[in-house]
Amino acid sequence: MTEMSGMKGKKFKIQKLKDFDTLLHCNICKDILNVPVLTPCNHTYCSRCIREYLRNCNEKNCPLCLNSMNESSLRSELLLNEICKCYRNEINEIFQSLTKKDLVLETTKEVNVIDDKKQTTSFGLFKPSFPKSNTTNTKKVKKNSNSIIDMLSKKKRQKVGLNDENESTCPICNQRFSLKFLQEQHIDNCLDESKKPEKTEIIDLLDEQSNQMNPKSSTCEEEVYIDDDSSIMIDETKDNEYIKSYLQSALKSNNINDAYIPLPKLQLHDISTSALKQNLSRYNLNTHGQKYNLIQRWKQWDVLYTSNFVDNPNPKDIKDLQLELNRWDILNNKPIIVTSNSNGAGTNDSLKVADVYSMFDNKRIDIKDDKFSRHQWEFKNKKHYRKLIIIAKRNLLKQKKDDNISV
Amino acid sequence: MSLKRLTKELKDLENDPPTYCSAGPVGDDLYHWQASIMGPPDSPFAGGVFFLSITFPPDYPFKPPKVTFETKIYHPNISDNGAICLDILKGQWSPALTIAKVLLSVCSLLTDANPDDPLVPAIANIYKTNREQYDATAKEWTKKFAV
Repeated sequence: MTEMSGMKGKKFKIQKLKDFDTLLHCNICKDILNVPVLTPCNHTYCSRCIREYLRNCNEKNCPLCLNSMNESSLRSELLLNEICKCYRNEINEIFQSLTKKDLVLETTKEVNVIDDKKQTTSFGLFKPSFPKSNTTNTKKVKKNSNSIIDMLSKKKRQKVGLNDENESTCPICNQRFSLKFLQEQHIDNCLDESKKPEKTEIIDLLDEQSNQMNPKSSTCEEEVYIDDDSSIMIDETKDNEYIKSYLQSALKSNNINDAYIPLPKLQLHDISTSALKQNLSRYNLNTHGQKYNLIQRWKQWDVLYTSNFVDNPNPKDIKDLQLELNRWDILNNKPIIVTSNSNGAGTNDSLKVADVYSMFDNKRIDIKDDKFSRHQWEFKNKKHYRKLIIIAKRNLLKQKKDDNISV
Repeated sequence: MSLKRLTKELKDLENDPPTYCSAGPVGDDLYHWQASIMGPPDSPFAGGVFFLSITFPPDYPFKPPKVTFETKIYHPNISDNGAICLDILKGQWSPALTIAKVLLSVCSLLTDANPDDPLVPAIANIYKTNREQYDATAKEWTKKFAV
């Protein structure tokens, strides 16, 4: 239903953070809220989850407090929608930066310590040949520093001319750099390459240093003083998309109902198969399978459609919805694939779930039969296997990613 | 949705296993699980390990899972063939419930039976009129079938 979040199965060192994570999860699908909606009893669920639930159950109750409610009383939560979107998308970065900070805290002290005049002069003339600098400075700095990066950052700081206005501390790695370098390169590097080994950072610094040695690049002195607290600037640029999206969706929400054309209401219990197919094909949907599957498909389409165009402040394109329905079909409407192969298209009455399942079981017996040929089976179901393999591969990749990030 | 939700529940169970219970799928079929419950210490079932089989409907979590005891147990709300009389497994089911919560409810059902809504009236009768005899028989059955 929603994209798999990076959070599932994470162990939290900080208990409160676990609460935060749990609060942003839907109580029905147990995933991070996707297009959250508020019930009249003040509980929040994914729009799709609660709509699907209310349609599938005879008693229309809130899953958490069992108060009766109506689908029409659901209200979308724009702010929470952006918060969840941001949380889902940026989660890996949030956790990376959290772990990074823990590592870097020790080095921050060291960076700020040195203020030796001798060093400033020597660094002013200094050309990037590092082994030398290392040996000359070790005596003075021994207590404080232990990595080349520290040295470089000190140099950097003093090189720019001890002018505090031109420097700032990187909020990610806590080292001091010239504002220009920080804004234009370093922050991006820090965010993007926080996983890369230190060596690359050194190379970046080297390049930067040699650039600054170059008389042409004296622009840093002309650099306009913006703000000492550079972290604020970064937050703005990073979160802007969510803030903008929130403000826009709030504006748009007034007009959503005008653009929304509801799906025709079908009497699903006594509709003819051809009428069903007609309605499905009107939205370019798959019309294969038995009547039972057509009905399930239409129901799911109704949920996707309503949820997207009524609740989602940034509705997706209808083509994306069709793709999503196809994906759902493959995963959840599976029994038809088998039954339609064996029995052909359904004719009269709608099938119950149990019936579909018993047919599925019949197919299973076929598999165990001596006549069964694996190659034939594979060839027959090639299409479905290909899709399944793609899905499985994708899931594997996701799992690997998730396993890498644990806090 | 059901598959995704089931994998999620499985992961949660691994990361944060509930006390006295464990559960997991049988083979590759995520819709068929087996669970075990340790008899709660303050009940006549203490010391026993009870196995349950859980079958999830394709439209889980909108419909409740089917939970049955595979180990014989002497209890007014659990029938001879393992069916459990528990409100949340029938009308009171809510998709906000998880299998962990269901197992915990079954656990608490073992400590506090509900003789007013029995599945086996004979046991319920003994439970109400002669609690000592009930406890003794339950202990005996636990020793016989669940240890």
